[in-house]
Amino acid sequence: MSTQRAGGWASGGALLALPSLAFVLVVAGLPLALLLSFAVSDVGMSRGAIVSWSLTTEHFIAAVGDPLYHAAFARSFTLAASVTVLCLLFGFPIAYLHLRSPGWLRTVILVATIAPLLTSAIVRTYAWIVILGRQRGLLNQALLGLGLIDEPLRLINTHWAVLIGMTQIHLPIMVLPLIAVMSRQDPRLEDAALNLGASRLRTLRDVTLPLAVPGIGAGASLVFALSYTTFVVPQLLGGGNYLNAATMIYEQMIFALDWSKGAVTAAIMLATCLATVFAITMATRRAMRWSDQARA
Amino acid sequence: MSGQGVAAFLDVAGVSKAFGAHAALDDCTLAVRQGEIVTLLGASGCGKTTLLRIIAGFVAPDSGTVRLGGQDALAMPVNRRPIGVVFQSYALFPHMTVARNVGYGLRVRGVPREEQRRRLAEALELVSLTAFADRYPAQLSGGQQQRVALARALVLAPQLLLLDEPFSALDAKLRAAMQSEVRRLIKSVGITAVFVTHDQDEAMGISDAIAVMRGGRIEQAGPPAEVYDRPASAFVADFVGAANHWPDEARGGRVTLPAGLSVPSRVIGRVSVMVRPHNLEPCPVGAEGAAWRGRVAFVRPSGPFLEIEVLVEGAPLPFRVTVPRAGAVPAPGEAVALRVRDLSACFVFPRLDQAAA
Repeated sequence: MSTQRAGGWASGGALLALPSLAFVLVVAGLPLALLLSFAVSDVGMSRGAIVSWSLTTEHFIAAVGDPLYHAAFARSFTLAASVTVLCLLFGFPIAYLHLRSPGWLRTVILVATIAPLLTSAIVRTYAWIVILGRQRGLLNQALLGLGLIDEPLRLINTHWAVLIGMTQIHLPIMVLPLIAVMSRQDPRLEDAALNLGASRLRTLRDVTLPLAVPGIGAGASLVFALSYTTFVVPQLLGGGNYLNAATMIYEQMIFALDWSKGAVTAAIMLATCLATVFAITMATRRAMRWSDQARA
Repeated sequence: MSGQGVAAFLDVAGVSKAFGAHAALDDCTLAVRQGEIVTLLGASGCGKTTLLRIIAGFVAPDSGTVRLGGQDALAMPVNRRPIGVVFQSYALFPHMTVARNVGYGLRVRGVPREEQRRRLAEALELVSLTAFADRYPAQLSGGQQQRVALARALVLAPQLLLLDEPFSALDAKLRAAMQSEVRRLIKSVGITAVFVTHDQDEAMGISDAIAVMRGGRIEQAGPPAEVYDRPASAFVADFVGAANHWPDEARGGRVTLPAGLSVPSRVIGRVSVMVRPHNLEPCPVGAEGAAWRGRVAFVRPSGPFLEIEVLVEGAPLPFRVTVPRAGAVPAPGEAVALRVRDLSACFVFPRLDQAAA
């Protein structure tokens, strides 16, 4: 009857999306535009007010040639990449255990996975300080008590402390997409592989793992993006001298008050982060070519 | 099913399995001869799939034995049993092409490359899917997917083929075609096969023997015609085909129907006389030998037959009568009498309400 219904997205859907679109533009688009404009400008400030403003690319050029930048970004990238790999190594077995478990154990695993997300990352980071601390840290106390070491190990304020803390904090972000994807798999696929002569391990390699690829891709993208940009954990567990891209932005913005430099660092961080997430997405697509062909 | 004394190829004896407090299988015994196609028929939850999964090795029974070709199958690990399975909705590996799906078992077993290629080609040829070797399962129709699943199981030359509701994902027309196609295929390779289905037409059409299951037990096992014509219980009579129920009393080994007709009965007391729809024939009221009188409720064409529903005086449920489409057809509302064509093809069982008490 009604011809208006066929009016399509212009009249209905887009109109409904307008409020949220406007919201995103104001709270995300605007600051981002401001940030990028700072990165390509020379801003003169006096007593907290902008007094001069001119376009320039000198900050970018300086940053690209600066060895300090290289070191900071290399560290951020290696850290994020290793956290992603570690989360995958620890997360996949958890998701696999969840898949293979009876109903009650599944609930236990899921709750245990989600529970840490209910506490703030800062609280969890302080917990790691308690565990890894030099003098009174639980780990050092235990190792000393057992007589395995003669003097406390230097754990806190090292790269390792940051790595351990970030892996634990980001683990649920890896496990949840894995569980979501893997529990959608037809359990008969594993039965079929067993029936055709495959061992449990071979079934895992040939069937369960390849079909978990979308979950691995989603989890890896999220964990990488969060680890690459995270600031609190490196700051608290890595100590004052721990320099990576995120702490560098903080120093430039808050201590040096050099907003253009900070904006350049942030812009590089955003671009490299997006590029890596894009690369992960493309790799996932590649591993999922069979589903593209199926749709074609 | 084998009779006594004939060596069974697949011999399931006294198998029971409980999941928690629920007894899924209760002392199941089944014997299948070599080359025979047997169907486990029953409603959902009757234990038929559990029995299939026990034979395949996915589930271990609590008690009982499963022997295959004289050997203890339960002693063989699940991935070493010479048993092929066609799963419900096929369980094809979605990330592998048809060729890789069918060849998977050969690769896993480390069959030499050259032999792999030859056997894969043969298997694809067998199910006429050679042209589809490089497609992914999602690019195939339901019938083609099913043939891939069959080829994947048969390429390993198993001693026994198990099929779990293999036709349930197909639409009605394709289902009928695939049933005869699959039966032809299985017979051409000469493999022993066990089907699981809840569809009695499918069971009748495909099997050499049927085992009707209920509540974890095998209620009756035998050739399709025997199960249909001589059901062992009221449940079987109802499950393997429509039956009309006439409540009556049995005395002295007989039930006396209206019009003085008499049917032998092995039980006494409150019974239900069951008559298949095709064993009834409408006739004019007052005709000789007519057991029941009633009124036609409606007439429904069903293929080459007509299905007539008659509200019979004294019967709790209307009777269904199947007649050929030719000849005079009673109209709805008309009074008719019903005559039994073959009194020996009526079954007498204790009335269900009584059996339950």
